[in-house]
Amino acid sequence: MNKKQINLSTQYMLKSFIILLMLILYMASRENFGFSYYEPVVSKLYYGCLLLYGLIGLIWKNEEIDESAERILGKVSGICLNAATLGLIILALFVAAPMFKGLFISRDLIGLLLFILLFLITALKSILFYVFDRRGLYNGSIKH
Amino acid sequence: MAVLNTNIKEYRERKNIKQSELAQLVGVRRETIVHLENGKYNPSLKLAMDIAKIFQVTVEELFEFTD
Repeated sequence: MNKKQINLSTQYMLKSFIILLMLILYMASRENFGFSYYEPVVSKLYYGCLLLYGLIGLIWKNEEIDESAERILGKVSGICLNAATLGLIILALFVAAPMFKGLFISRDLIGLLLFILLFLITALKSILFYVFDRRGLYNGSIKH
Repeated sequence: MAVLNTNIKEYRERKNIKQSELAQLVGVRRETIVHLENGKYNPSLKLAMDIAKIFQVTVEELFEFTD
């Protein structure tokens, strides 16, 4: 059976959407939101999302990463890595820095902040890839 | 500064090949061919040679540097 092929932009957007779904499920599973009764269902959905994120390439045939995509991904990954580092530094500052010793941050809140950071990074990756893929990595020395 | 002009579109239209078909022949995405034709991508030597082979021309005929 031929699997439907999805392009790279769609693939990264799907992954970003799955992370958003996981973030929503995480928020829903927290007791503060009053969803504790449905926790077993939410947990199953959560693990389902995690599985889907890992197996996305088996469900749909992913587009091959060619040389231009590789170059775009190199640039995008660099930007995302900087964003992730910045986010983790800010988080580490609040969690581990001596100056915030008196500030109580719960495990739930750290989890939520990590999920938000993860979603922002995946969303940034999909948006930047889409933009660069549409616009092209312009090289000033090339002219049609 | 040297400017690279591409003649891929002319050769492709002469051979009556679609962008997607050319992309499939040289093993890249259609977007790469679009960027190449619009002068928004600097190809690798392998890709340039693969495209030249498809059109049975030399790389110099496809890509030309002008000052």
